[in-house]
Amino acid sequence: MEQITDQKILELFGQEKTKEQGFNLLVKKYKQEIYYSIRHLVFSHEDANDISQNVLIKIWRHLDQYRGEAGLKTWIKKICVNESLTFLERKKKMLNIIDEEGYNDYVTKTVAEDRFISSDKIQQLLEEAIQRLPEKQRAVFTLRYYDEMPYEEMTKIFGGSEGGLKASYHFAVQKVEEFLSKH
Amino acid sequence: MKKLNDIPKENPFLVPDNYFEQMEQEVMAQVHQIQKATHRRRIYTIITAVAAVVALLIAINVWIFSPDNKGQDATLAQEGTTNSGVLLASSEDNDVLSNGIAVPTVEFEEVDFDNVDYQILDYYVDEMSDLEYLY
Repeated sequence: MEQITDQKILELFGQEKTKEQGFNLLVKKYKQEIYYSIRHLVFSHEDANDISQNVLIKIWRHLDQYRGEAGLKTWIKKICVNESLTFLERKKKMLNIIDEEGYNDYVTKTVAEDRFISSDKIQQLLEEAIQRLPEKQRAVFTLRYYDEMPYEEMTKIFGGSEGGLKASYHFAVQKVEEFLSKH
Repeated sequence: MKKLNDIPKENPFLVPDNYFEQMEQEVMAQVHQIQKATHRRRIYTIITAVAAVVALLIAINVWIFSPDNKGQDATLAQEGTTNSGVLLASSEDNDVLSNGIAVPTVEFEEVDFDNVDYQILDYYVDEMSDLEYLY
């Protein structure tokens, strides 16, 4: 299958007659990446599915505003992170979880009961450790660990400095390793 | 202490069968709906704009070419009599016109008041006093 380039996508999307064709190529190229980025943040398949579709529709509505300051992939990831963090904020209020202990119990229960996770215990534990991270730190960790996104690109998503993001990732790794050692 | 680097970097998540194909179809279906709605809105806007221009042109036409009703002597009481005997009040009677009141007709004979017999005049006056005068 011919490699779909971002340039081709933008070229097709930029013309009214081929706009839908360009968007279809974008969906084919990025749907899995969008889904898994979101899934690492929100954990649940159903939630990740809803947010992924919302993100893609948002991309359809706003891709004409993309200016190219960041790569197209980074621009898309930024929308994924923002939508996921907004969702998590709303969900936390809905669940009415007040303290960290209550939240950790909720995470443990959710991971144990999920049908769409690997049966590998180590992977389950790692995922539980990641879900216990504060939301923004979780986003920094998953983009760096799973996507191996350069810190320079991450500053275009989160703002702030590369140093700040490196520190955030470092502390996230420490917390994950502490959790894995205790379990 | 367990190190993160010691754990194989794998994707721990599973998805239902054909999930991504289905997701692609659902998203493109939503996009089709958005396109249709956008297209309908554009057509509606064009039709509304054309209708507004046409209405404006008709209004201007009517205003330019309509007869000037001020100073007309002929009353509708004479012009507007129908076979059924209903007429509209005189155009000089503004209060009646503003109410749009219809009054029953009375057939008037042509009378030469200069040579009238006063007995006959009294008769007509009596007749007319039976009519309702609306002001």
